[in-house]
Amino acid sequence: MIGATLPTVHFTSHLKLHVDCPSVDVSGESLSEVLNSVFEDNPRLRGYILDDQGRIRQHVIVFLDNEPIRERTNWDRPVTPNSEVYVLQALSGG
Amino acid sequence: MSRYRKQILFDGLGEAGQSRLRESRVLCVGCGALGSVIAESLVRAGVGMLRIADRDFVDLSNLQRQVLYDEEDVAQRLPKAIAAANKLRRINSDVVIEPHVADVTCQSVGELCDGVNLIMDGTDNFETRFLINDAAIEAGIPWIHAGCVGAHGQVMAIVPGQTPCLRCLMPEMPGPGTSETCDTAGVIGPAVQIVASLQVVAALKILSGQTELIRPELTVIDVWDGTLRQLKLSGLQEAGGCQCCGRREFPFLHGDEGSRSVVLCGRNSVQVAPSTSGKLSLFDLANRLDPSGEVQANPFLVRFRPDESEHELTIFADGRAIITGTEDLAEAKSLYARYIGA
Repeated sequence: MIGATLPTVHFTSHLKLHVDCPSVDVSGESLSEVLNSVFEDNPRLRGYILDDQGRIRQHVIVFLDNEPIRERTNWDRPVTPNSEVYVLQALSGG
Repeated sequence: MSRYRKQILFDGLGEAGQSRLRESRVLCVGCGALGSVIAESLVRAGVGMLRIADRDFVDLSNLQRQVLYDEEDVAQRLPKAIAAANKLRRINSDVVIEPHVADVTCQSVGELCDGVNLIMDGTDNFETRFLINDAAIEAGIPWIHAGCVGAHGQVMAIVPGQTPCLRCLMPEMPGPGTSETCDTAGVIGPAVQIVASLQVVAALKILSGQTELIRPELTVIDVWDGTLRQLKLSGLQEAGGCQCCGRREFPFLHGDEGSRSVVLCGRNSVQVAPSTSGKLSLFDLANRLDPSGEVQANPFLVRFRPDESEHELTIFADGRAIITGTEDLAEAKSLYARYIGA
């Protein structure tokens, strides 16, 4: 069950246009472990979130427990079983 | 003030708030989907002056969501700023409407921002938003950023010195083709209406003198799923690391960053702007192009479809051209050079 005992990762609905990425519960003690676990299960997602150098893309913003993560390469932030990760893409349209 | 009675009755505004609103001056950059809703709402609410800057003309494909325009505007091929002003003046003649048929560039943004209390983001591209951000932070003017694609939208109110700026959130401009547009993902009217309405709510707080109510957050909505999230941005300004609001460097405003050609969201079109500013004789241009294809002209623009071509060029008096039928910048520049001249 989502959010019960493991960190949960949500993706902006905008990203779902390109790749199947429902909200998932994944194990891990740091943001890095959580995201890498997601990418292992869903390899296509990696290319939408990270660039060739493994940095978070410029138009992608990752929030951990409602706070934005500034670092684009170093995600050693600790997560708790109740943590929520939200992956957002900037929107150009209007 | 009787026309604003219901609004004055609302506790959040009251008579004092309405009076401040009537004195306010707003710039709306872009008057497409978001801009139409923003402009209509602010004019109905009774701002003192609304300046509208838009580089585009009304097209049939706009009518699905751009609520200020109608089929007559399409038939006349009116620039959006002009069509919007015509409509807005009929809605509320108390408000001064100042239309500008113009691209917002590093050369023009300073003059457009002159004397305004607030800037509203009705644009469809990051380049203009980064320029607005530079201009707003440099001049200390609040602005309300938003984006909308599909059923999804984002809103962020930026108050210099009080909240993070756009570049705190997004330090660099996304690369070409890296993010979805209305052209590739589509967009539905209700998403636009809700996103723009959230922008207007923030605007009413600022214009009624209640800027302290603006919180450092990004609102993310999906009208199809019925979800709304408010993401905290308060940690982004720490250490003054932002090039724009921290170090006060403004490369987009100073023309060090930014191209001169952009793909237009949802239009299968490219806008090409000349590197130098100047007034073009539309009459001469129409005559020059006449032997080469179908030409239509009005006082604001020339529309030209070359013989046996799938492209259409709409040329404005400031030398800009919107080239329809391509999203390839190089192809668009080539067509510009062929028919208009660099």
